[in-house]
Amino acid sequence: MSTATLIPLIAAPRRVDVKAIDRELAELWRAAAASSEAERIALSRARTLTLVAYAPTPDAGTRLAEVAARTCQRHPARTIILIADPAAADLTAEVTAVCQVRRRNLKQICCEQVLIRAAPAAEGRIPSLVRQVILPDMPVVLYWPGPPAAERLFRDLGEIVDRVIVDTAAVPDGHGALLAAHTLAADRSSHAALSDLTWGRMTTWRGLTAHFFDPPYTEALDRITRIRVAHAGSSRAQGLLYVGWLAGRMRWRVEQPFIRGDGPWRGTLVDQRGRAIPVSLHAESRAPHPAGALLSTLIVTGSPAGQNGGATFSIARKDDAGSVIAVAESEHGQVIRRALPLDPQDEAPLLAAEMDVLGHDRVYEESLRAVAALLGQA
Amino acid sequence: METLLGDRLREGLRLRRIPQPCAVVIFGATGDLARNRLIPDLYNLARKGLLPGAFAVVAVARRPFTSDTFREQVQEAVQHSTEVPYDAAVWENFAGSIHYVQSEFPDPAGYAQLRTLLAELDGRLGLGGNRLFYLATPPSAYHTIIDRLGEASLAGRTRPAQGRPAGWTRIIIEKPFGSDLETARGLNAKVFEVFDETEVFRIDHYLGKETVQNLMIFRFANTIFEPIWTRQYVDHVQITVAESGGILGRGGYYEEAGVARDMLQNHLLQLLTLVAMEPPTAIEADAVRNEKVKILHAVRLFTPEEVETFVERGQYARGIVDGKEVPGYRQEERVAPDSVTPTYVGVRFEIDNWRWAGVPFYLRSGKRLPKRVTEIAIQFKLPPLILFRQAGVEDMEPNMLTLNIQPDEGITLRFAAKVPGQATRIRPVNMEFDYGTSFGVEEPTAYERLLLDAMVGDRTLFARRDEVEKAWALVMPILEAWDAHRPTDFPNYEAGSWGPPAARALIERDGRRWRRL
Repeated sequence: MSTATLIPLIAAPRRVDVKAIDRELAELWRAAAASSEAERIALSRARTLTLVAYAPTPDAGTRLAEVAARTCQRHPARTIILIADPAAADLTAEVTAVCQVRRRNLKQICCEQVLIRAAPAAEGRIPSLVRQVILPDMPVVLYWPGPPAAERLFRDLGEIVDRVIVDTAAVPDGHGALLAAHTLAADRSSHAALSDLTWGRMTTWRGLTAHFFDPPYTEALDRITRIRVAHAGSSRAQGLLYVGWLAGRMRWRVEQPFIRGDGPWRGTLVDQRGRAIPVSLHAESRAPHPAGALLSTLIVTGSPAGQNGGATFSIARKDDAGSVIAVAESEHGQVIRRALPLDPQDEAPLLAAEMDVLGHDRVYEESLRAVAALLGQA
Repeated sequence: METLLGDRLREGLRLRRIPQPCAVVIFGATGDLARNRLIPDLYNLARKGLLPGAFAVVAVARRPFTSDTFREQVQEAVQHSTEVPYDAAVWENFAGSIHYVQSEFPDPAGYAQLRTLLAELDGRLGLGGNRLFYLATPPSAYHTIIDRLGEASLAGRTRPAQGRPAGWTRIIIEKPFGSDLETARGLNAKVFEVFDETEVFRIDHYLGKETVQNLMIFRFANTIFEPIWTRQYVDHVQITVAESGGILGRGGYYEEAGVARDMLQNHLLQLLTLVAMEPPTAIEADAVRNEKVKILHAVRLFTPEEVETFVERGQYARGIVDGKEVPGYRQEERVAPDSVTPTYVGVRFEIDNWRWAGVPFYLRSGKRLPKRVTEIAIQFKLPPLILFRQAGVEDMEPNMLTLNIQPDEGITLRFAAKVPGQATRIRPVNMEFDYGTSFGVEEPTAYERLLLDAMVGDRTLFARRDEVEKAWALVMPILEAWDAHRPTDFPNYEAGSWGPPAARALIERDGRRWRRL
């Protein structure tokens, strides 16, 4: 994702009447079009969806406004930032637009933002305001930068949108967050699809793991004997989701849920032929990796019956944190080694990637079910 | 198509077609195409994680490089590429997969060395015997390389049936595919001595461009355009492939080719078929190519007399392009001072089928035109009655749908709107869809797309034998008429202009005009 400079279309967000947000946005664009014509700058407003983002504090609101603006280059959207602000006078709204210059033809691509500040007593009225401001008949995405919440606002917004994006790694209790996500995904009364930045952080890891079992190692997929996953710091969300993904894809059953303690978590899966696969999850403190980040995975496979042909498949994050090395090594000495840059792990590109897909992510939901089983909650 | 979709772990990864393990063997690996396009694009596929884990590039060329010195050469090209971000760790890993074989193309010993290396890589990396040969050489080397591949048992039909690793063999052949109908047929015959049609990928990089692929999506995934995509509503179609550049030091090649072989027989006719074809029964290689071939069959062949009427040629004289003085074609390197090679062509084709009868297709391409632009413009008919005449409106601009292919890919629809105010005044306005604005994602280059397609085995965007030969059959009357009548007015357009005056007349005598781009 581009790190191009963000250019506000107007000097500061314009305070507007909450009942007239649409009209004020139209006025903003009329004025901008007139001034850009005078300055001969090509100005493009593009909108392919509405992004609603919730900020639990004013500071988070400032950060989310920038994150949303950065996603705009990939998903031009009308963004509505909902800011919980104890100092707000009831409900207030501001409109602005943020632009980025497109390198190739020097066009400015601009996305409009609506900032809604709500005092605690006014939060219940936020959904009605969101309904009023979303773009007609275009997809609506809710970004809730934390685990699924029990509060009413989360539930009410979930009824308006097509996709809810959460971040289960945003709290130390990653496994609790994943269980909440599983509960939400399993709730068939909600039509909204669920996604998770934690899932996006694993895309490179999942891709490399899938690569391992391309020929000549396709058969090895059915002979996995051991899995070891290491992650940084306290949140186990990524590590759990990685194991859940493997278990779900391979139709493994949980024989022994993770025994949770201060040391490594250990559990046992059983493959479709009834063979046990020990799994361990290790928390390691290793700077500079963010809490919860996957550090390494190791998959060991056995030999075909009566033959010599086991292999190990490892992925390890390099110390620069920006890339990973994947190595497949067979007992015969055949080694395939690959280096790949990690997909960007910053909030804006992760969010943009999750906005690519609007429907249900069956594999993610399946992985959550497996995680619940691994945690003994199936 | 062989992908590894059966791999349970790959589902839901939102990508991505990953080819089977394979070796890509590039003949002519030290040439501009390989150095500046193919290797950087393969590296970029590696960077995106789109290459298989077990993968090798084997570079074959005449120059005395070792694998190490060749890697250094291409590393420089990748580092200086403006399109490909350089990542040292990825490069280091990718470079390890590059191997160099030094050989003259006719030398059988080089092919024996290649065969040994491929067998060794198969064993060491587990490539499964899968090989993609890429002929990035001058066309004059094609026959020799194909012969030698066959003799060395490296081509599809000549690989030994026993004791070989199971695996596929494919060959990518760069344009120009032949220099006329006879040589194209000869090349096809040569290829078929050792390869099957299913193994042959005739590349036209225009088809790898996003907008060109979007043409089919645009037509066949929307209900609002296809019903009006007919002679009842379309007045005419213009296809333009304009280049502001000259021949870029390729005088030797261009003197032989000229614009008709370089552009008309391939790029322009490919674009025409995609605009005009009927919906295929499925989006798969042969279904799409069947429909394209039907269009080529329906394009009316010119008689020699009709070439005089419906085709105009030109050659640029010195002039000014992009604010700089540029030499005329005859002053370019390796160009004869009295050359009659055309650098501009304008053609008016008609398609004799139910959908397009009576709708002219105007095609033009030229070098040293004012700007580099490729587009397809579909001009619709005017409303049958100008209702607003009594309000003072005398003229109306027709609706125009423009598919911009380069430099900025996108689609523009022009329609009429009322100018605000008391008076009834009508002005054309454009509704624009810009790829870069609406989808701010990194687009694959045309070669990235086509290299991946070939590795995966998807032939949809590659030309089939009959397609290539039929396109030549359409161009032959033009080439023959031009050979028979040497132009007396060359050079006949200034560099930096939109071509010779006769090209304007070609369309203006029909009461139409070329779009001002």
